[in-house]
Amino acid sequence: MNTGTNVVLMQGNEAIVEGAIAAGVRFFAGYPITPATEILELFAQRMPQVGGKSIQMEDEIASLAAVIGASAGGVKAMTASSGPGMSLMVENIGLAITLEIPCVIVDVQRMGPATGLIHTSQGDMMFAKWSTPGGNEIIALVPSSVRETFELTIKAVNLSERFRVPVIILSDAHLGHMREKIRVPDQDDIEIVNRPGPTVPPEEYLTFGADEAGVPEMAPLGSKYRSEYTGSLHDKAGKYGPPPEERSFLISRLSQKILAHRDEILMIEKALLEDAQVAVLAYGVCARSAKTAVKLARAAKMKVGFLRPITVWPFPTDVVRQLAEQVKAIIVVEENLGQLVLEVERAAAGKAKVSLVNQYDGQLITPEKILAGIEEVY
Amino acid sequence: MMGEKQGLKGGKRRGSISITFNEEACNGCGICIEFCARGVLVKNDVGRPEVVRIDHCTECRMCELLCPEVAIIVSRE
Amino acid sequence: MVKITPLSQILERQYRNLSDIKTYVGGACLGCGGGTVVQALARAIDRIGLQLEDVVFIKGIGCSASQVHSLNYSILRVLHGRAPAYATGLKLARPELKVITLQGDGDALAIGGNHLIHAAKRNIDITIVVNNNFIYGRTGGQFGPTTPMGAYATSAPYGVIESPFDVCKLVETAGATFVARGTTYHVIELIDIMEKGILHHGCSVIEVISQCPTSYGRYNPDKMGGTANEMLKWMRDNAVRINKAKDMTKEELKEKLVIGVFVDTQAPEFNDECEKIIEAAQAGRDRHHH
Repeated sequence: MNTGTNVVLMQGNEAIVEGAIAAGVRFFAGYPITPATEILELFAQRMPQVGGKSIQMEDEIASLAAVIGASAGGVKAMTASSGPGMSLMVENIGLAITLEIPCVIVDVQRMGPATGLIHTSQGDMMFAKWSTPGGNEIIALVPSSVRETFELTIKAVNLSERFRVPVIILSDAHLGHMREKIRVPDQDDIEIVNRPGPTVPPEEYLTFGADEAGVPEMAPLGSKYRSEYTGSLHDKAGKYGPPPEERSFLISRLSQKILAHRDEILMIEKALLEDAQVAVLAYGVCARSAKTAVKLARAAKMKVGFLRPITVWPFPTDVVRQLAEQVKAIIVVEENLGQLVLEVERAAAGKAKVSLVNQYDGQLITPEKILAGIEEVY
Repeated sequence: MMGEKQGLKGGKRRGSISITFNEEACNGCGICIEFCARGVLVKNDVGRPEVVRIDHCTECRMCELLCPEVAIIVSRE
Repeated sequence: MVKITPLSQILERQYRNLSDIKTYVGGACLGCGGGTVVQALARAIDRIGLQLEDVVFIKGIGCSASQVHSLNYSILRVLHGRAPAYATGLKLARPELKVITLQGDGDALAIGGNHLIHAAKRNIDITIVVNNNFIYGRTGGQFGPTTPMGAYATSAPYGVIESPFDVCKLVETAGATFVARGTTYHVIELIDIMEKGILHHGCSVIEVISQCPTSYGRYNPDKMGGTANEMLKWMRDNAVRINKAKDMTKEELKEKLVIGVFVDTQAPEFNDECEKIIEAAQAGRDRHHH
């Protein structure tokens, strides 16, 4: 596949692979699962072409484990799965959080519960944030087009390096399998961010030597720097078992390093909100139906606007709070039983009515259905 | 360091082998005493090893190898 | 007589400051075999001459020789049972490194069984050290996948009713190309086994029979003895080296402990094969274009 200013017809899952390679990912480990399998297969083909290694592991637990091992050794790494595989990865997501290992985890969502269906869904939104014991902050991005899938994959890799966190990309079966044309940028035009390397000499190096809202410098395993990594709570040196008065520090810093830098992480799309009385909040695969519904509403003289979170975790609380102060109602659109609507309700704090237009039968939500929801509250 | 404090009694053979203990590390498991083939060590009244026959030590280093706490050092001057 | 490096030199070259030895959970139980496993590893590394930048330990959960934290090398202490999977990723990312896992019997063979056999199957060039003390020590003495039938454990108050894995046969069948069993009594041979295993190009699995007097010996004195000394003596008195065991009958070997190097062969190594794929891919060869 050519890079450069080529316009290419690309599948959503393919955009993950090409975005990752463009961002410098050179290790992939995964396991077959519908609707993410193409990512495994395409990496198997493409990764060795660029000198990287892509392997199929024995299960999803091993896949994310291998990714953590590779990244700890200094190579940018990614895995991809869907709900059932994400469930297996949960313990390792927690490990990546506490060891502060940069990595990207792609969840091409399908319907739950359990094996569910293999069709479009936005059912893992809360899971992405809350799956791990401890409930720590995570970064999660949601693309809504193939082009955005490509761009956000690069962004996800960069954010994972900048903040030393696992970043989750929440795609879905529909977006993963559809094809759209995208203009693939020149490699020279792509920004690459790398994890902060050690600036202190080895004797002074602390595996987790950062202050309250900081990101520690990261020496790769197998270097003149000795690293001590443990999944148990640790002090700045990585040593197990900090005394009670030091325990909160790490737990707090793991969240603060993200929250204190939200401005670098937050991405949203806004349209037609200046005079809006009602706002439609939609994300991911629903975004296009929602935009069409908003256009139809406007054509019917309704003052409706549109807000699309691209970063869903950390949730754009301030943005939604401001919106709630401005409009009388926010309609949340999602393909699940109602998940981000809970965050919207929390952020709105009663300042606007919050309603839900949802669907969870493995089919794309239609503009007509969203329009009916708009008409109900307008 | 000579382990006198916890009752660990090291030993020194004139001009050659000496056995010393890391008193912080030794937890009195008794393995070194049991497996010294030459009876160099005995257990004292606080359960710690004591050198009683330094002349018998052949530097086989079994005590060093078997000590789980790397607490016994056999050295040659 | 075999020349053994003075421990004082090993401590100086391989161990961090001595107060760190008791750093992990306040120190090990009296007579724990884990410390011996770690000393043997340190001595093997010393012989080979590896440096800080050459070695990474990937440690499992439990009493899988926690004393490894006292050594000078980087440690990645990971999820229970999964060490071989991290090791695989790390080795592929950094093929020049010596990646050594340190796992307990439960870690490696129960929760981690699948990763163990797949690492062996891939013949990835890592060294897997299984500290087999026949019990889950850290959590207080539950039975594990190597606990003998009939032994007592906190989760088997009426005795274990499953037969135990033979670690070495399992990984040999799975494809490991260096398979050996040592003990914490036969330390001189153990150092040798570890040196060979680390240097072996392929998946090395080293099972170390190790005493846990606190959780295993104490409640099963009829199996290997009740105290550390009794357990070490049991190893001394019941071990049969492989070259002798080959000529013994099954009946004669019952209740015996066969030790030594069982497998030492060459087979395609996983990272090497990945590198070949890169070559092929960059030359435009794949399943459609040979």
